[in-house]
Amino acid sequence: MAVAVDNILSDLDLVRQAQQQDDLKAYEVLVKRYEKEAFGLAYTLVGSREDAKDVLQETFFNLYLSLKNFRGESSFRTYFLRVLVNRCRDEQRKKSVWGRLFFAGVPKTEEEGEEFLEGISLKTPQDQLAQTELGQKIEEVMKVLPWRQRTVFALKFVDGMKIREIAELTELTPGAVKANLFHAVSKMRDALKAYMELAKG
Amino acid sequence: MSCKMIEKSLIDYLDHELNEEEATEVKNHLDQCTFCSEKLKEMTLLQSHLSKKNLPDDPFFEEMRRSLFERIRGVRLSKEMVLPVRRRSWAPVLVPVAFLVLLWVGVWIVPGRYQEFAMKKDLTELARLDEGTIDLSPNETESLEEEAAIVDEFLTLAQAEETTSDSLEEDLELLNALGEGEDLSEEEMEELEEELASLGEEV
Repeated sequence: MAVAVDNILSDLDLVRQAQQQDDLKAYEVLVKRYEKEAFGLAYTLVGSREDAKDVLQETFFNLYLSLKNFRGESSFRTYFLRVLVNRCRDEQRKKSVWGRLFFAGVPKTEEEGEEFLEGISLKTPQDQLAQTELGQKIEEVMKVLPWRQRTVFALKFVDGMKIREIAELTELTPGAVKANLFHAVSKMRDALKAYMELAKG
Repeated sequence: MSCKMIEKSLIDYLDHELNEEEATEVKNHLDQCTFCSEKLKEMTLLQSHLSKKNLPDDPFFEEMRRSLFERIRGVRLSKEMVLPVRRRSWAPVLVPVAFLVLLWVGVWIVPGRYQEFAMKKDLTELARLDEGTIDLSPNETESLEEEAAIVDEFLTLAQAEETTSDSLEEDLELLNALGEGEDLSEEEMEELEEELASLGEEV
């Protein structure tokens, strides 16, 4: 019964309840409403389940502490996902510094990224593995995409957002979103050509 | 429409963001062009793979929520504990006051006390020297005697100043009385004359 009541409340109603009455229940409903979508996005952006979990918890925690700053200028979803994407970017930046320090094989330049992509595309996949491997290969390619392309790509293909929603969230123009998406898709296609052929059957 | 233009419109086509005319144009092109229809298939494939998301099971999210709300409750509790003991800060008043007190102590009290202390110390040492309870080297004795001489001079001057001001007051009283036509005794007249003479000499 409580769930049914929770579900009829809009995001804004729940935010107001959490803001004005410091209602943890209301905030919990919001967390449940967005945790799965947020996890999918965070996982695609940071590339590990544990990191995605940490990022998710940190984002929800910090968002609760700064909930009074939310004035409803954009939808709560956009506001929340924007904070999440920024958090993922910070996480990646931290990682790249450590990666550089310990030479963990993180591509440092676009050229190195290109070589890495070529390496993936040259592998000859087995038919039966193609479908399952495709997902893993996409994750590998995601890791070497420049951050903006990766974000735009994840928001489009993982989250299924429309161009204008991505533009609002990333504060880019719709044209810039399309351009980044176009480059990301081209790189993805080139790197995964063999897998794509098999997966398409 | 060229293949390049179609490729750029594919995302909008998938999002149903094209108007009817544009959408029909793209659709007609896709029906005839294998190259572009392959690209559309690839995009749909990417979307279907990524949108599956491989989400963890419910306990994963329950654990995340449990840990999250534990942290939030912790913060709320610490806020509640901190708020009642928050009082008005006296620092803006106390700091300048403390500064002034220190300044007063540093500029007036300490040097005055030190001077007094030094003088007392000299006199005590001098007394002990007289009594023969301490032995000092000739140099120390000399410097002590010099200091004692300064102290003596200072005390004499202070006493003299006090005496002079007292006797001058008395003289002024006698002169006033004389001016008002009062009769003075012979002793008083002599004393006054002597004082005036000595004052004249000093001047």
